[in-house]
Amino acid sequence: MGRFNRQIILPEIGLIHQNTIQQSTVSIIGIGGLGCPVAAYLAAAGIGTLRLIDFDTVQLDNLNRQILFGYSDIGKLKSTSAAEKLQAQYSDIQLIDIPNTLDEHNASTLLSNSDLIVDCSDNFACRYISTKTAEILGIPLISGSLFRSEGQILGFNRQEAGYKSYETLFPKSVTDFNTNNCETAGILGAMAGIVGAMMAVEAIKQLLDNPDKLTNEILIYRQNGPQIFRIKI
Amino acid sequence: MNPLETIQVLLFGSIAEIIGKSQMVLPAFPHTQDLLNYLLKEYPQLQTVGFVLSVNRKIVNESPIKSNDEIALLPPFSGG
Repeated sequence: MGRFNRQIILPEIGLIHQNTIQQSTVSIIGIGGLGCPVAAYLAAAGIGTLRLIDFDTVQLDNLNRQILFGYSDIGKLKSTSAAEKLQAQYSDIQLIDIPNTLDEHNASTLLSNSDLIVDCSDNFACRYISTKTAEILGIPLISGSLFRSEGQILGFNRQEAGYKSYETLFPKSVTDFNTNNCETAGILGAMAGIVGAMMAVEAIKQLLDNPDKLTNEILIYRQNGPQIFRIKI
Repeated sequence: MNPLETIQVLLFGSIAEIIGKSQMVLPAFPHTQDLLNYLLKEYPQLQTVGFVLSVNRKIVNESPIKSNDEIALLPPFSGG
């Protein structure tokens, strides 16, 4: 009984696409509320190489949502702790620990040769850098974010029709006004889990070139209802 | 405007919090700019929030509106 049997029997996966998954490299920016479930599910799915990028250390008030960490991880680097944990769980994938801040000087180096970039960061400055770098490198990007009881997932691909850059959609002068993150606005841990899991699904669809992949679109999950909206950019 | 002709307006994130609801039905303004003018007059705090507009699930800079259209006001989120 193979580790991936339950997904290989899915019509949209099969042996060929499972092979693609296992040969893929995905860079995840931010190993927090969204990054933890994204990394956990992509590791479980067998993504060949996962690069975990986060400069930060685990804090006590991260533990309601950052499910790869516990009390014993407080003070440790998130990227290191997550990489060690997932590597211990799955010896058949490669975890690369990158305990750096993504900035405009290192972004191209850190993100190049990825098949997909997944932005799970918690600030606009990082989102501008990740989306601009993905555009320059021609790599598809899934960008997720949270505000209280809502989550947004943006799928960007410069190579596909309908592309607009993140900065075109949300000019920097606009985002200056919207600075609420999970620390200041609050978040239910399971909300980050739902949106992170949705991001992992969209990441796999993107890697497999699924006809329904989120491309130059915004997917919104609203906790109350719950409701889902899909909007073309 | 014909009062029987209406549009549905979906509100997200901090915009929903400022207006106090997540959706509302309004008269069918002829153009997105007319809708924005109305909202900014009724809810001046919206001037502090950046957002994009979609009409029938497609983001637009500006667009004519017709009865039964669905308009969404989408601010960017940053939490992760």
